[in-house]
Amino acid sequence: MELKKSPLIEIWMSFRFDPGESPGKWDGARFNKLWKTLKDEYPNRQELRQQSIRVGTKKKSGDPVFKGFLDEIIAQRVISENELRVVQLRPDELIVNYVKGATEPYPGFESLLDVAAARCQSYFECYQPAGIVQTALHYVDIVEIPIESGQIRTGDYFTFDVRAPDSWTFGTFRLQTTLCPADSKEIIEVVFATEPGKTESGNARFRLEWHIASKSEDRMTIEQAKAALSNFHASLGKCFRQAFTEKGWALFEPQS
Amino acid sequence: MILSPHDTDFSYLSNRLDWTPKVALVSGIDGMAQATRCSVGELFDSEGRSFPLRQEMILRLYPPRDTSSWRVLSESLGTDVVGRGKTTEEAVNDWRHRFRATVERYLELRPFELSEEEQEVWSRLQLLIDIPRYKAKPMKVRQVGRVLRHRRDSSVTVVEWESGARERVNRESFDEKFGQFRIGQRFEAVVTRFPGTFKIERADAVRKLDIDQEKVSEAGKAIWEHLQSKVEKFADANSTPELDEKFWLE
Repeated sequence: MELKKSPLIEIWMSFRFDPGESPGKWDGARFNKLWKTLKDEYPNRQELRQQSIRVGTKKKSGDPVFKGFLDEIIAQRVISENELRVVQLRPDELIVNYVKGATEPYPGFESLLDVAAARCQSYFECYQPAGIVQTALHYVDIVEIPIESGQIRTGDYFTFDVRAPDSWTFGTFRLQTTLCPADSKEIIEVVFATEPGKTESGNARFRLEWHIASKSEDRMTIEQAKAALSNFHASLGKCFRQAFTEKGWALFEPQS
Repeated sequence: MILSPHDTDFSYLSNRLDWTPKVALVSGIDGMAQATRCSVGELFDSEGRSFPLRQEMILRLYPPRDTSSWRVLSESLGTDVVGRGKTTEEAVNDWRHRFRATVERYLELRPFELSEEEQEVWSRLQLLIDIPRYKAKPMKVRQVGRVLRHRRDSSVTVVEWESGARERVNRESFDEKFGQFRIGQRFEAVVTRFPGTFKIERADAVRKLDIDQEKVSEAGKAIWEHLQSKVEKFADANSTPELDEKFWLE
């Protein structure tokens, strides 16, 4: 079912790799190896660096000795021209993000999964890991709800709720929980929270985050990881629907 | 749950909690996993001084939807400060600029000049920025003094400032030449002092001063007057009958 007003804002898939028996050192050249293959699609590059001071000890006295500065890259991310697609790299970890924006129509999960699998394939070609040890899928939704008579009864829209004495009203909240839906083998982490500020149209905003990761530490191939991600998508799709009441669901104008 | 949207300004309270995901891969790369979330490093005022932040400032980026620009909000300030730009970089820079302008505007206002709404915003800003620390910016002053004593067993030099106040200063905070100034040497220094303790943080510049011309001329005048009076007294005591001017002229 397609939603005309989908609340999706961001989706990302992550892969953790087994580096194998002789993993190389993650220096600038190693990080850039993947970027070189993606440069045309992702021309912008950002690095997360960490500066530290190396201190040793003198052999005889044990006094501390300054051994120099260490400046290392701990992560790198490359960004597409329209800034909606991002590939992030950390030692033995790859994350492929998609941000939903006006400059590009949402391509759909299958298409994003193919992109993520292709990036994963590039990772294999560049770094030759022994396999994928974990994969995860993440969604972020921003749900806008019109304010009626100065208040919002969240129970009218969401099946999630926080109970409190009747006389209390909530200003903001942040609910973070791990759930295991009845028909799912995986644990899903959900964040349900108010989002800062009202929209320009005066609607209140709520944030829903969905995180699901594989538990198995067995090595997976790209195809197996793809299958796992497809299952996660199906699970999260069900959970997403179940998280809303009919009134809430109608906000997204579902198209049959 | 009933939510009262008027109170959503308290969003900073809920966001004080650090979210530590329990599922291994959920966090991805700290501060990088979500492309729509980023942490701002240092924030500077228009003079380039950094605002001391009490907590990490997390920004939320909203991709262009109805409008063609990205929107940036901080988790703690919400819509108090909104940055916009065609790219994420532009939007974050716009947010930085607006944040700086907002803080500086509030810094200039007295509490009674603030409306109720502004007072709330200002309280939220003070939860984010350590304002007393920010205001306690080092003071730069020009001082004239003279060296009284160099302690050879330590790096302390005792100086006497023009006001008559004596102070033990650390020679290492000054230029190397300062340690070679002779006792009694007058000097002029531009020093940076902590406003709270008024202690010297460092001397930005120091130079020897020549002898105080004004004092010299005052002293000279006094000596001259003193001598003149002595001469007059001497002349009175050894006075001779007036001489006929004609005698001298002849």
